[in-house]
Amino acid sequence: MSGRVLIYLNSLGLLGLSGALGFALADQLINHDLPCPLCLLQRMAMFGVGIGLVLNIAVSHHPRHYGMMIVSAVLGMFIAMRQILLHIVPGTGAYGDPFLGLHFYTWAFILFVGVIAGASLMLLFVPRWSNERHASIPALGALAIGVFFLLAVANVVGTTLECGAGACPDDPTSYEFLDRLLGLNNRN
Amino acid sequence: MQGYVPRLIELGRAWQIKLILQHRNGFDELRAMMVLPFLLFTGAIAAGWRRHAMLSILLWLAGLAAMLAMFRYHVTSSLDLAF
Repeated sequence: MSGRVLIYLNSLGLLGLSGALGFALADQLINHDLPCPLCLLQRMAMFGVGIGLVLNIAVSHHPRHYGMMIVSAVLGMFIAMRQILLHIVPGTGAYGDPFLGLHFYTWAFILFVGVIAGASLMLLFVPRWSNERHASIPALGALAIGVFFLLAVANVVGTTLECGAGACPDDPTSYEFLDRLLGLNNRN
Repeated sequence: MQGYVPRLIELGRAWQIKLILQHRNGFDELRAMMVLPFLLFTGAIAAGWRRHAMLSILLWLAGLAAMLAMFRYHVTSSLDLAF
């Protein structure tokens, strides 16, 4: 497998991850489905996974970057599993609306399992590793990183508006920090 | 540029007051700053994009540690499971 192919595979992986994060963000903005703290933690784990991909695309192919992906995915998997277990008993409700029959945290669990499997396969089947830095970032890679970066910035803004500089409420119903700001503005 | 300095000082003072008040109240909400891991990961992505691999990894590690702290802060209730 040539270095170029690996960069494209990583770029496609990053675009796929961005698709999942973008979908969650769109759901938040369009359906006003505010993310709970555990949901935000799962998004963070997805960003942790993506950083390994970014380094594979922009810097060099290194087993360490796949290790970063696996560590982040294991953590994300535990967080998603915790949320699944919170609602596993019939009658204990669920958080958010289901998508294709499964809730977002179940999809997140599946995604993290897929990431662990994918990164492990890459570690198994890449014949040799090189410490050489890539000469340049291909257009697809730059696009994937750009989209991923914008999503990270959008999540920083969204989380700040929802939680301010503190902890998020367990069951958020509004952008509390934004409401507080608007409330202050109204008073003035 | 000069206009930013007094604003930054003002912001710093506001945060300092908030920290002191929260410390006095025994209120540790600021430690659970949910946006912090996102900020660190955004920095890690930017560093990776600029091809500063070591900085990116360090920010990723810091973000991961912050994430674990958030997880510990938010996961307090026991699971309602019975087998």
